[in-house]
Amino acid sequence: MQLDRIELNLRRRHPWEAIDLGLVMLRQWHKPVYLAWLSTFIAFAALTSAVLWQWPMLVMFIVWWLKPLFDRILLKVFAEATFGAPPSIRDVWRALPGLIGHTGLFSALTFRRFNPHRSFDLPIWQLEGQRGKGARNRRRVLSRKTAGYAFWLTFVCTHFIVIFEFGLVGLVSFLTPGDGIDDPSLFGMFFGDAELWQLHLFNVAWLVAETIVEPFYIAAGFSLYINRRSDLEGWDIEVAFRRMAAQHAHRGEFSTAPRRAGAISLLILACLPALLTITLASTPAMAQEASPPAISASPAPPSPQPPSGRIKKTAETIVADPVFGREVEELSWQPKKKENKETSEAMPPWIERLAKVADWLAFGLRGIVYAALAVGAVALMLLLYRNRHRFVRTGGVSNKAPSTLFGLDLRPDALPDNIPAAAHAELDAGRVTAALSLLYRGALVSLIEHHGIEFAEGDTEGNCLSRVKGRIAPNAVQYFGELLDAWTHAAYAAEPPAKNTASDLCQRWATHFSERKSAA
Amino acid sequence: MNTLNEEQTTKATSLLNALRAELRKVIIGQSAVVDEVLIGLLAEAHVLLEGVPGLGKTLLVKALAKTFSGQFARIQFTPDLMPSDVIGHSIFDLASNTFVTRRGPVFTNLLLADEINRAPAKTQSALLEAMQEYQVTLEGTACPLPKPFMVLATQNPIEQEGTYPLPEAQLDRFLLKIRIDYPDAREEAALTRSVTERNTGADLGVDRISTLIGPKHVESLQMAAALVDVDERVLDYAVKIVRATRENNGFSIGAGPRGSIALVRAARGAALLQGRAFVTPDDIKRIALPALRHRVTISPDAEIEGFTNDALLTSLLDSVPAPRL
Repeated sequence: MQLDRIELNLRRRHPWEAIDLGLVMLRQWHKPVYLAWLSTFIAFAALTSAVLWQWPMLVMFIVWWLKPLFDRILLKVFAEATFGAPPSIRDVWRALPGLIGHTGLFSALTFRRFNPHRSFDLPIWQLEGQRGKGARNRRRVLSRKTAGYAFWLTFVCTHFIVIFEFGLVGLVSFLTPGDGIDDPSLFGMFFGDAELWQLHLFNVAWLVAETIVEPFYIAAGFSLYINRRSDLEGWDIEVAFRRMAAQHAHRGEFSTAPRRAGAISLLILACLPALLTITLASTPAMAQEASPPAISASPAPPSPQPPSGRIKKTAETIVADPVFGREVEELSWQPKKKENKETSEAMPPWIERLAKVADWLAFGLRGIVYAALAVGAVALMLLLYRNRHRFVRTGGVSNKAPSTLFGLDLRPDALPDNIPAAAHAELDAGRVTAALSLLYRGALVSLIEHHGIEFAEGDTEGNCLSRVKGRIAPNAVQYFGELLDAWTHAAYAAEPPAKNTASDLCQRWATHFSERKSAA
Repeated sequence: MNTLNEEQTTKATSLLNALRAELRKVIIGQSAVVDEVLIGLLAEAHVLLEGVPGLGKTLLVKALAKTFSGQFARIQFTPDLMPSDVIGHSIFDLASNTFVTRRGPVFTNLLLADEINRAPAKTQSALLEAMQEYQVTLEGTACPLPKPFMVLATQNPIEQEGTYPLPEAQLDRFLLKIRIDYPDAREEAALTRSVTERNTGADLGVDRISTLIGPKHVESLQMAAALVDVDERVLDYAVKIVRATRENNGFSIGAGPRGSIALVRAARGAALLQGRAFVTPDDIKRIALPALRHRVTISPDAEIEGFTNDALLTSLLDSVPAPRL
């Protein structure tokens, strides 16, 4: 599955929201979808009408019955467009034999023709190539929380087709000169006295309604399917990890430390499938039903769709891999219950009591051990979270600070080597505000570099102070507060502090903040 | 007098602190809401209070009215309320054979427009015109409203049945839209104790509030707030925030220039409340949510994604660069 090529924003969605995504998909790829639809479905309907001109009702019935075939064409377009390569009309026509032969069309046109979850089940047949028991199991897993929505989607779309069709016929009827609303001429087909052109008009209205609704129906079914798989297999998490890995890899060009972080992310990414596999292996049903399609479902654009047999073969190979779980028959000796009872009855009562006490003791100890483990794990996590800045620093991520951060120039040459001395020099020159600015900037750089504190672009002085609280020593927080107070008075009220106050701030600066590492 | 000196600032701040302390006798918790209402008073502007029933919106307004010896009036907005019920009307006096003008409840210092969204648009418009012009035209005569004049309107966000939501243009007339949330457990316990102990009925204890100042003092405080200094960079910061709402994809309509004006006016009051005679970027940021949340319209896409005005504004405030050295 080439998830990094997926064009959809994967995240957890409610099924109704997923159906809404189908509408967005149709809006996004309406051109390839409608080109494929018009060049196949409408062309077929026109051809059938021409051949069976005298029997319009039969034409409608044939075209309607064969709709699952055209659904497959729509799904092919949506699936390939999802991965960034919508097929052209030529691709669609080329893929047509494969779509007819290897997508379970026979069952779809016979005993599954009235399947109320048609659009949702279609990807299982067409994209995953599942058949028989595998398809049934797969369907059971996927439709566990989605079947109801898929049913209502079919229900609503069917009604919309009827509404659109009769609406169009009604519109033509009302605009036709005659007795107006009471004129039953166009609805005469229900009374058996409709003319041939009227029946063809009905067919045209139906085709228009199908053209409006069917692409949405298939898109919504497909988006429901994608959403369900994303839920089950954590596609959104995988995409996020890939993005993080890419970001870290990008940063790695500038420093070694982020490269290490990127490598860690990649390691996590690499481990994730293994972890998932372990989880899935512990639940064999999921392992067998969910994992194989995760690879085989890729429509693999822009190459022509692989034949279903090949997909099936690949899926079987993956399922056969021991990593994905296997059925193991184990035989072992088990004492019969009756014998067990007899043995216990044969025991002297004091041993039985002792055994009972030992059982309780073991149970209690087990409980204590589990509780201790849980408490230990929580404490460890809390400890790690509280001291995360230490790991960031030791990991070397912040050893090299960025050149600018929230508008401040943090390059080594932008700040003097000895900040308090430089600030003193500014004070001596009578530039109190400049001296405070230097101290403020130096303090921020020190907080970023040595304490791993992150500041946002929009952080004001008050925000900076609140970010620092709890992360550095209380007296350093107090000093930083005084510095900010002096700075805000100097900067925004043109009221710089007295020279001795500023001088005191210069002297105390080095006690709380250290110089830049590069300068030291 | 162009700027506030230290003594004036201290005097104004101590007076405001006294007002705040007085209000907190009956309004337990909700300190941000109390501050925002006082900021509205300092900016000589009107505020819209929004919150579910029972959070003390009316109590807050009553208590504020009690703290200064001004006039207070309350109008309960209903669907059949007419503009004349708000601004007044003329009636024919048979005895004198002339038309006599009866002034409406709007002629007061502090007006509580309770559940403003229950009245139809024409009645809302009558009040909003008075809010904007600080005068009312009765029988062709312009009658100025007493000073100070402040409208505190309340609305309930959950009951939308039979209400007339204020249009964006009218919402813009309010300086702040203050959202009152539920108090936390400790505050709620203290509130319940304060109301129920040694008290008959459900009297919320407005009697405990003492009158501290007169309308003239309020005007002096408003003048002091107007003299609070705003540095060029801080002003730029406020304008940048407002302009960012117009460029943000999450909003279909951003705040207009009145948003920048409101932000700076409210920030002046916030600074004075903090005991400062100058505005800092922190003041702007602190007051940005109540000053802007009713001036922006969230886009349908963002709404579907589950965002709210406040969430979008908060992330916008984090992204607009604050003034630097």
